[in-house]
Amino acid sequence: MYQLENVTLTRQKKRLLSGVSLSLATHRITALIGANGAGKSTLMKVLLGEYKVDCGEVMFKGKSLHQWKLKQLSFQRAYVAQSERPVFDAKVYDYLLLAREHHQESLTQACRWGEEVADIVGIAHLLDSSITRLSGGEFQLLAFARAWLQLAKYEGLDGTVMLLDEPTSALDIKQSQKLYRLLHQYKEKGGTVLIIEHDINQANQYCDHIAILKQGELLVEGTSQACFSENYLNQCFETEGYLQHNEHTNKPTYILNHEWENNV
Amino acid sequence: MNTLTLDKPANLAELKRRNDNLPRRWLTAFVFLIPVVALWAVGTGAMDLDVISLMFSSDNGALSEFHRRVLTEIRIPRLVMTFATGAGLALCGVVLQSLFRNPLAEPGLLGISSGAALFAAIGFLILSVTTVPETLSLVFIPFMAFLGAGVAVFGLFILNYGNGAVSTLLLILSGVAINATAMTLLGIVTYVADDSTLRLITFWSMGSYSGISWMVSITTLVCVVGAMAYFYRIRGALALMSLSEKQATYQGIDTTKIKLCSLAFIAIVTAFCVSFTGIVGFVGLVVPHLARMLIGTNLNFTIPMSALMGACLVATADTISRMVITPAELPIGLITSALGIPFFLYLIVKARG
Repeated sequence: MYQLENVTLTRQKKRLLSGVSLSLATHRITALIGANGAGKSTLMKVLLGEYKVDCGEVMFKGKSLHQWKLKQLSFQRAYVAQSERPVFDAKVYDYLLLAREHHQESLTQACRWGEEVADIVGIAHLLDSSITRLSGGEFQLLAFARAWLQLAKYEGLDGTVMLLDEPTSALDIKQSQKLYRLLHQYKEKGGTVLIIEHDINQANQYCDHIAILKQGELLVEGTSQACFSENYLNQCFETEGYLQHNEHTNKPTYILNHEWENNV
Repeated sequence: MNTLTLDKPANLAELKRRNDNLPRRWLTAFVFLIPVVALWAVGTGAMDLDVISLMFSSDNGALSEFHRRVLTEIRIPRLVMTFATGAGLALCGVVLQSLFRNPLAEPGLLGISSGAALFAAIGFLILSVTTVPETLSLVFIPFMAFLGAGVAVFGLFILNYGNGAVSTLLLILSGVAINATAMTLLGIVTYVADDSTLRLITFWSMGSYSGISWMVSITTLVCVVGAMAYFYRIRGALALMSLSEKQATYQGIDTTKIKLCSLAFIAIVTAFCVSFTGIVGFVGLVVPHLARMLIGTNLNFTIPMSALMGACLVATADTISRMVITPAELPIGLITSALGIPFFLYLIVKARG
């Protein structure tokens, strides 16, 4: 899907990314983790085509990203930002249907897609509400539904990718779990996901792959079993912690060393 | 995602259709209000005319040559101009507010109106110290105002179109800078102007529709209709940009192109609106809010509704301005501001509540 080869980016004389090579394979949920300022959002902007790289190559489906037309990309790639409320109020259905703005289809057709996606995401009961009346969690689900609706097509979601920038930052534990469940549904229907996640345990629990960034360099990338290790996490966050097996999730959880915490 | 069946009843479509009924009714009401306002406006003034009776009178002599000239050479071109500028300024307001995601955006924000005001003041100053033939002096001030609006727009583009992208924040800051520069220079011009020139500058800046010719009103109308057609065509892109410019880009919208074309239309419409009539305040700011309060934020309806409401508001304000101290006229800017200030107070009270 996405292929980054030896990507280097410098802005305002500051090296933000150095020699990052990363591959986003299809039908996979990849979490991008790293400390604050590690370059996660910068990497996301590179993938979105907002930043042009100094050297290296950003490929999307085998073709250089800047060779793609914005419109062509919009049918195959959607982006969910951190909670970003619009200035003007609108009905939820109007906000949702804007996702079909670039599709050449009738309003009735767009409404059918909208209804279907709203049902999947579980926001059908909110369609007639005003955006300003939604809670943070409900709005984030709406933003996710909007991204899904942007990509929806008869052939299915194969070949589509969703890029999410800390979508769970405003969500409680239940809503976060719901969002990840929906991401898995999206993946099962053929989609590919890259998600910036600050909660590393959540990333390990729900994502197939993990890419760890440290100071603009890719520390490691691979399956969550391979990457979610004390060694990498301690290096990444410059902390001292250990992994503890979580019986409920059957996955390890990273816990900070109590003595180290007291000494900080 | 291939479970979609075309036979499935589209409840969302029904919901949308049901909710769209209200804006449609309001739009229809304003379409019918336009001829009512028009008849009232052309019949009111220093000499009241019962236009309906005159139109349906069987007596061919009922409409004297004098009446006919008052209607065709003064009142109707003036009415067309009030409709055109009202619709134009309101359209510029609704588009700017969507583009900048700023509820306070209006044509004056970009400095176009103050550019026109500065050059008009310079024009008055030139006229006060030189002898210009009367026919030339009639078109000199609008020409200068248009030139000022053009210079402001040129400055706006020079400041912003550097690297192929247009930053919304930079645009607003440029507008503030142009406004501040124009206002400072206007202060200098008014300081050096004599009393009678100062009076002329002050009256011009408060707006007036007297002495509007057919050519001016039709040209402005054509310009506003063209802008409206363009804005309506790009309403989807504007709606996306009003939510988030980046999201609009990721949905395939060329946001830089939309911004540049919209700004070009806004600049031309504002230049036409203020050059011949002076500054008519609050319309670009207030009318889009009133339209949203009535019919919601869907630009499918807000764009035509703002145009219709703006046209009705300015035509009404102009008619009131002619009624208050007959046979003299109050500057229209005073009336539109008098209508706008209570609305602002209402917004403040609502926000506090």
